[in-house]
Amino acid sequence: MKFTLSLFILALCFSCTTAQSVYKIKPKKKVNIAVPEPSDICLAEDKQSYYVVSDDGLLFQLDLDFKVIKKSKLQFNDAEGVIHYKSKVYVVEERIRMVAIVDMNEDEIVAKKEIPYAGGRNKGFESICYNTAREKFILFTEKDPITLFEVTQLDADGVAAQVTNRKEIDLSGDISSVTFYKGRLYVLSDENHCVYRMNPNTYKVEVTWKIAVLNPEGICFSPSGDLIIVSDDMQEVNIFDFPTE
Amino acid sequence: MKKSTYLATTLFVVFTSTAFGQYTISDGKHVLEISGSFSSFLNLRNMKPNELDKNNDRFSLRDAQIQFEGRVGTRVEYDFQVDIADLISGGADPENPGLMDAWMKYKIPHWFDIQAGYGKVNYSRSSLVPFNYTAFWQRTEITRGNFFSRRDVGITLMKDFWKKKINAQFGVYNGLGETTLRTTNDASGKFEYVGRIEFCYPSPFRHRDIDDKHVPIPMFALGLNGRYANKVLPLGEFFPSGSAGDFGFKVFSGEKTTYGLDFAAQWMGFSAQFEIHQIKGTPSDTSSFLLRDLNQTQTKGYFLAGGYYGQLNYHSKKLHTIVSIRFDENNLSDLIPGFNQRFSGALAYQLDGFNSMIKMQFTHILKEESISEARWTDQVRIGWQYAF
Repeated sequence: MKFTLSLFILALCFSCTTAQSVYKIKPKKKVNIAVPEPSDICLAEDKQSYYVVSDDGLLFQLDLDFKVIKKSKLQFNDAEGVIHYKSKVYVVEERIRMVAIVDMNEDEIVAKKEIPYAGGRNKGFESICYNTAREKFILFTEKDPITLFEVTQLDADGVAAQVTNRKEIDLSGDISSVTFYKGRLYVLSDENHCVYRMNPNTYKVEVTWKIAVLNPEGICFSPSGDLIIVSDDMQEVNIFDFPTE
Repeated sequence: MKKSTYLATTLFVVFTSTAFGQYTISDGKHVLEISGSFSSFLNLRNMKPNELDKNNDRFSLRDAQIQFEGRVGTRVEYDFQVDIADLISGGADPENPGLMDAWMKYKIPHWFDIQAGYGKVNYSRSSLVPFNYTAFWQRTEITRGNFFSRRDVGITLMKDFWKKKINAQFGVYNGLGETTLRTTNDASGKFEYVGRIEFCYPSPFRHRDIDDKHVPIPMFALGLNGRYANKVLPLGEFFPSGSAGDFGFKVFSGEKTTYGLDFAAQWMGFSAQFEIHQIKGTPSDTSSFLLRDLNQTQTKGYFLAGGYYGQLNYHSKKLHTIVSIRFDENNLSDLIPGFNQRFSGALAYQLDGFNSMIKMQFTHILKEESISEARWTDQVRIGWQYAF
C-alpha cells in the first residue's frame, strides 16, 4: 500500500506545470445590476452606454452607472458574448453556434451567421470581439479545448461567415469573455479567476492578473479606462483600476 | 496489494490522452448533445478471519453510459440517459441503475419549471451530486439508495428565488423508487411526496462536491429535505421485488416519514459536506419484521432509522489531484442495539479534469450493527473513469 501511494505522489510531482508571475488586483467598487445571470458586457462605440447579455437569452442596454435604460424585446436561445461594432450589436448564442447581428434602434435581428462547432452544448462560443490588429472577428470556445476562431464576413448580409484561422489556445481552465483594448486582447477566465493580457497577433499570454470575483463572465473597459468585470452568479459589476504589472 | 500497484502504474502511464468532450447538433432551435462515459475498477477486500466465502476480489465495469440531452427553444428541455452495463445485469441498484434519466421539462417564464418522467428525486444533496464529480467510487450507505429512493417516476415543480440563491422543489412520485418501472404502481394506490429547499450564499451553489474552480470567496449551501408516503397494501398484495432495499424499509406497507438536512461549503480548493437523515416508519402490520418481534409497549408501533456523514475534500490544480476523507454512521433500527460506522478515503488523479480520472477509494468498517454485518473489514477500489 505504501509503495502504491509513493508511486502516485512521485508521478504527480513530475506532472506539475511551471508557475508564472501572477498579479492580484481588487475591485474598487461593486454595483448590482438588474440583469438576471449576466454573461457578457461591452462598451458601446459612442462610449455612452454598455450592452449586457444574459444566460436567459436577453439583451440589455445600461447607462454608464449600470442602470438599465433599454431591454430588447428579442429572445435569444442563450447569449454568452456581446460586442458593439459598426452600429450593430453582435450576440453570440453558445448552444446553437450562432452569431445574431442586431440593430438596437429597430430592435430587430438583421442577420444570423452560423459557425459550426461540434463540442459540448455548454462548451461552445463564450466570447467575441473584433481584433483590430488582425482586422478579424475572434471567438473563443469555453473549454475542452479552448479554441480560437478568426472569422471574416461576419458583418456582410447574405454571405456566410468564413473561418480563416482556428487554433487551440494553450491555457488551462476556460475562457469566459474577451475584449480588445489599446492594442491588446484582455481575456477572462471563470475557472481560474484570472484576466490575461494577450498579444493580439500571437495569442500568447503576456500578463496575468488574479481577481477575487465569483463566476466572472464578462469583461470590458469603461470610457475612463477602468476594468469592468461582470459576475454572473452575483449579478453585479466589479470595477477595477486599469491593471498594471 | 500488488495488483493495485500494477493497475495504478499501468493506468497512469498508458492513458494520458485528453478527452474532447461531448458532441452537439443544432438546427438553430433544437440543440441535442450526445455524451457518455465508462468507468471500471478493481475491487479488493480484506475478509473477516472466519469468513468462508472467499469471493473477495473482482473487476467491475461500473458504467457504460450514453446520454442525450436536448433543448428546444427556450422552454423545453429533456434528458435521456442509460447505463448499458446495468441494463444487461438486470438489477436495480439504486446507486447505479440501468435507466438513469428519461424526463422532459417545460419552463414557464416568471412562474416555475415543471418536470415529468423518470429521474432523480430532489432529496439529499449528496444524492444529487453526479457520481463522476467525486473522488469516491461509492456513496455513503445513508445516501446510496437503501434508506430512501434516489430516482422515481412522477412530476416535479421547481422554482428559484433571490437570484437563484434559494431553490425549491416539490414532487409527487409513485414511491417505489428505482423499481417503479417494473410495475404500474403498487396495490396501495398511494403516492410519495418529496420536497426540498436549499439556501445558498453568497451565490448559487451547484451540486458538486469538489471545488475545482478554487472559488475566491467562501460559499455555503444549506438544504432541508422531507418526504412522506403512506402505502398500506391490501392483504395478499406485495411490492415489486427489490423495492424494499437491502435493509427492508426503503418501501414497506405503512407510513414512512423521512426528513434530513444537508450542508456544503467550499473555498480555495477546500470543500466540505455534512448530511443527516432520519426515518420514522410505522408498519401497518404490527407483526412486521421491522418491529423486531417487540411488543406495542416497547415499540409504540414505529421504528426509527437514519444516519449522518461528514466529508472533507481538497483539490490541487497544480497536482491535478483530489483528496477526500469521509466518516459515516447509520442506525438501521432504534429497536436493535448498535450502529454502523465507516471511514473512507479517496484519491483521484485528473488526467483531463473530471472527464478522465484515475480514482482510488479505501473503506474501513469501524463498527457494525448485528443486522447488517459485512463479510469484509477493509475494501479498496481503484480504477478509471472516462467521459466522452
